[in-house]
Amino acid sequence: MLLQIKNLSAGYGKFPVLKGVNIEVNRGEIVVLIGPNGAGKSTVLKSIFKIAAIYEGEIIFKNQKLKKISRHDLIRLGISYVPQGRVIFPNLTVEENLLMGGFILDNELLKQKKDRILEEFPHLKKKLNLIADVLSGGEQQMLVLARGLITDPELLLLDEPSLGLSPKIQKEIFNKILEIKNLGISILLVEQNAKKACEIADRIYLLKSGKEVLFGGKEILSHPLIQKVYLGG
Amino acid sequence: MEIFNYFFHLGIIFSIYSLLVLSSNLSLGYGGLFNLALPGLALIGAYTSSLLSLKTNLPFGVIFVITLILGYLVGWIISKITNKLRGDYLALVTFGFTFIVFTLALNWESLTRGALGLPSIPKPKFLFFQIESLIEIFIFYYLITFIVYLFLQKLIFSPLGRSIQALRDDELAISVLGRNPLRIKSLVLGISGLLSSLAGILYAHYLSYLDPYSFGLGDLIFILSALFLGGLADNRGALLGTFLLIIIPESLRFLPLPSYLVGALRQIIYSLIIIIILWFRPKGIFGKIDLS
Repeated sequence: MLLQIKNLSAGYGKFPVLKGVNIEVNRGEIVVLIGPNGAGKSTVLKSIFKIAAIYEGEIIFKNQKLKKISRHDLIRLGISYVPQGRVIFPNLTVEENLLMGGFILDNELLKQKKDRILEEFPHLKKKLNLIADVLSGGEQQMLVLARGLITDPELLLLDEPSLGLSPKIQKEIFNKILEIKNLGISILLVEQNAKKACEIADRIYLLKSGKEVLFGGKEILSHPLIQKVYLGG
Repeated sequence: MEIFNYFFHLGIIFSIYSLLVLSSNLSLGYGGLFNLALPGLALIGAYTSSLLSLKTNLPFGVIFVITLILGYLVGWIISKITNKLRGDYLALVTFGFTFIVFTLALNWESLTRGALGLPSIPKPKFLFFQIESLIEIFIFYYLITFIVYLFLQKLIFSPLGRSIQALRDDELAISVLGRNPLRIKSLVLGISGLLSSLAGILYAHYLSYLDPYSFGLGDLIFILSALFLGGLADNRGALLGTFLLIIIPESLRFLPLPSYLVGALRQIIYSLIIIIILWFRPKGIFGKIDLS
């Protein structure tokens, strides 16, 4: 098992959002967290990446407890986090944005990784010298995905990658996520577009009010709870 | 000959203010930190260096280094105090700092002589080389400004420089990439403090006189005007903006205006330049960042 979250209670300041969540991610799989707004999906990712405060429970990655590991070392350990909202550096070029993702690497290695990542994202190659701000929404999302992969992570935490994008671009993003999975990278994905996300998922967790209330393979898509509340069926 | 001295004088003033504008460009242009503590930091540099020169027998080189370290440390402390502030709030607190330094310099008379100021500040001396004449000071100050410019260019185009610019664009994005934004902020304000105190040292040892009004609100307006004119986030722009803002108001000297009007007109020109740039060219001449 790559990542194990045990009985996690976490939140912001004194306000708990997660109340005893248990999640597991195996190597090479896509695990999707779905649930209504405020369920705590993004907080799971933020807890792993030390942005939310952890009150109780454990997060174990590659048999190491993450409690005392700094954010900087999480990246070295093989975790990469792509927050929601296409968080780019708008005044830096596409190339500079990519390079920012790999500051833990030495210059030579970083250059090699950048060249390799551009093979995976050929569309960005043509726009390396453009200011990131002028890219379309879909291109910006591809850029943050590429930036998240530049350190060769073993686990990619993806928060709402399709947010605010057209259906056509969303499809491209989900295809790209599948390609990333095929590179052997595990993905913990938070997505509002539950139906689309579940199509590419190996396992699904349904969160509600800070707890996981349902989990399993794609078969849980037909569970009455999901059908009723989240897929409108 | 007098006309040459006049141009050397303008050149020296340009090099001193270039340091302040480059310092502001580092914190505001590249780092996105609205740091208005620069005149206060320049005053600290000027007073520290002057008082140590007047009251101790320390060599100028040692005083120079001590003052620069102090400038860095004060900038660093400001970053720690303001670590949660950005934008207007950071501007207000750092402007308050400048005001506190000014008030201290004005009222701590036993140390600074208050409004009477410090006269007879010696000219710079490194080892056995006394920098005395106008041309020597001109060369020495230009050498320093050139070194600072090269250092800043090297810094900005390094991976650390990318992080400084990223700090301006998105603090959250930096932290999810594993960088500590507070550490970058401390470094930026520290270097900014060092450069401002360097400008203070050069100013005091050139004019040989210092009082609390040597760096104040007028200088802050000048620094920001020069920066906005040249353009944020480009060191060439910072130098060009400084050059133009020294040259343009100097032309007022040759107009038949009463002297009491010239000072006020300068301030009006600086303010007008800010308004015109904000209106018509928010990126300034060379700038990469839109002020709006």
